[in-house]
Amino acid sequence: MELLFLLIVDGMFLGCLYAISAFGFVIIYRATGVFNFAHGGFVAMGAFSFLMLACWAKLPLSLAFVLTLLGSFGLGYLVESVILRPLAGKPIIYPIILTVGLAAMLEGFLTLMINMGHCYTFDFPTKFTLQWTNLNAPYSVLSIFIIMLVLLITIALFIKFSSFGIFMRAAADNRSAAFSLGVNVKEMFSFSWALAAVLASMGGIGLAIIKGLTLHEITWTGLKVFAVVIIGGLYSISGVIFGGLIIGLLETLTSAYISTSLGEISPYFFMVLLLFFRPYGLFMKRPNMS
Amino acid sequence: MSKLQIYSCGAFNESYIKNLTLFTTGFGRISLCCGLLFLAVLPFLCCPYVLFLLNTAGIYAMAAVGLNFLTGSTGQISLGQGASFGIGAYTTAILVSKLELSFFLAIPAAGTLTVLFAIGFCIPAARLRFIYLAFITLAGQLIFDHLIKWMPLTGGQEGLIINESSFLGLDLNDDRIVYYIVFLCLVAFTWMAVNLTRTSYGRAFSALRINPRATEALGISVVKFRMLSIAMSSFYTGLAGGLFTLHMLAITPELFNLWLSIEFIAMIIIGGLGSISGSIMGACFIVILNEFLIFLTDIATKNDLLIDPALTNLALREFSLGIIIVLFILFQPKGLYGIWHNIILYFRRWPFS
Repeated sequence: MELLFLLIVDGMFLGCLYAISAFGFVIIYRATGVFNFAHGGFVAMGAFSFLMLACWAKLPLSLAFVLTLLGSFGLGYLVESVILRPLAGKPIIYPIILTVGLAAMLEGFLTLMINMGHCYTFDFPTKFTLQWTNLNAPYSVLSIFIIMLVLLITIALFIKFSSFGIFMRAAADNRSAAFSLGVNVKEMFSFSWALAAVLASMGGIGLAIIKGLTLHEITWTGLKVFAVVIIGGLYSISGVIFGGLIIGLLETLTSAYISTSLGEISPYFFMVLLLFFRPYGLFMKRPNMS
Repeated sequence: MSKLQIYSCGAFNESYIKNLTLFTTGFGRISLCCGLLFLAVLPFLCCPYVLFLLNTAGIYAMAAVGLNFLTGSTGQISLGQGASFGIGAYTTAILVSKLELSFFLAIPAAGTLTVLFAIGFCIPAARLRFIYLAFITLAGQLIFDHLIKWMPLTGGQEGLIINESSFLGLDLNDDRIVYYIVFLCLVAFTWMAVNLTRTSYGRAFSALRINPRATEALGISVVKFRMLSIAMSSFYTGLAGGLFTLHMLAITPELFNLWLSIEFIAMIIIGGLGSISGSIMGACFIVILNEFLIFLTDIATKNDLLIDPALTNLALREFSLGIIIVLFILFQPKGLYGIWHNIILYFRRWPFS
């Protein structure tokens, strides 16, 4: 019973991190209509650069955290403005395949970096294991999670209420109408990508802290974002949180009770089953396709 | 029958029937015959190493032609082509090594089984927007990666080795025999693919890519034709997988992972979306690229730059595939076929180009 309780907490924690990354995916989709297959790469980039800064460059954790977020903001902004903008107006299949290529690029880059690293290891100095009875997390790590939560709420409120957020949503809703009303649509698209990359790397940092990072994980964890998004429904941001929780729980429980390798693929099984019966996500009705 | 004459201002079609002809001038037919003849005598001209690469390229080309139905014609993205290829390869291997079937029966059976798997798996995607196929095939690919590693039938991590090495009495250890088998299959199936694009089915596929809703309004069932394109492409890929087993005679799970799927996507992007000859060029490009990367890895390991050769090769392969896809989409979206076409156009319009 104790174990089950621990597993549920662990799974929910993992699920929240998936949800944060998937939130970014939904932002990109809603804003620009592109399915970002490189989102897993963004997650991995965030995790990698955080660990590099924290373990190899030996920066304080908070500084590493901030630098990673800034870096991923730049990465997202750059990706949109340099390689995706020239494709505006082309059939949507081109930008989507482009993101597949981008994912391959990021992944190859990370594998190469890790492979070159006889000079550093990825033993996180303060291995963080979530144990309900004795929470042996150092305060710095715990505070990162709290900061992450605060940032997430801030971003959500920012999108909801600030004028910039409203412009962003306007550009996402109808780009020509927004453009004619004076919204700088290009800037908004770049900004959405940057925001999404920040969210992805926040998820990645969390994953790096609780799971550590091996080559295997870089390849796999990022891809689970897609399962989360399908389960939550591509059109809903709140659905993503439920999707994340479901995937996190499913993965943790299956790994613990059946087998680890089944745990790795259970999200995908669930996703395929769901597509058979509720293709627009668990909580969504059939959207009004406009 | 087109006449053997030179059109001084370029060949232009004046009727719809003419638009459907494969060769606008007789020279196309002649050059095709010469090309096929050259390919038929090629195994006697080149060294065994090149022959091996040619076989691999031919097999990949077949799968790429199949993927082109899906991505080039119908406008759907599949990230699970590697799994289809793997299912074809493993089915052939199991049928031949465990049930002692001959390759001649096992390879078509593998193609058929791949189609059944693909259709069963992709039913939901056909009803939804095109992008769901990418998600579902990605899931299929990842599930395949894992399952193949711990199913006892597939031999786990060690893979399968085939002891049978004859195809209708021919010795498969001779690469020339394999070359002719692959060559005949590739020619036959490419010919089928080329002809298919000229029929009402091919036009329905193109219509689906351009506007699914208008297509449905014209009385073409979107679901049916999407399923058809999925089935077609997985048949080609499964068959190519079967030929791959025949070519390699030993298969391991990591040959068929997600990177193979991305390689297939890269092939059709490099070749040019929707162009059949482009797919073949793309396959050749990728095979040459892989050899080049192996060479690079050798240099890197010898100079002690990097530790693990296998991992370095993987990383280089991932990175270069990614960057090639990105660069081709940005700067040459029509691919190698587009370049080739421009060269031809240049000469055709020579004094005015």
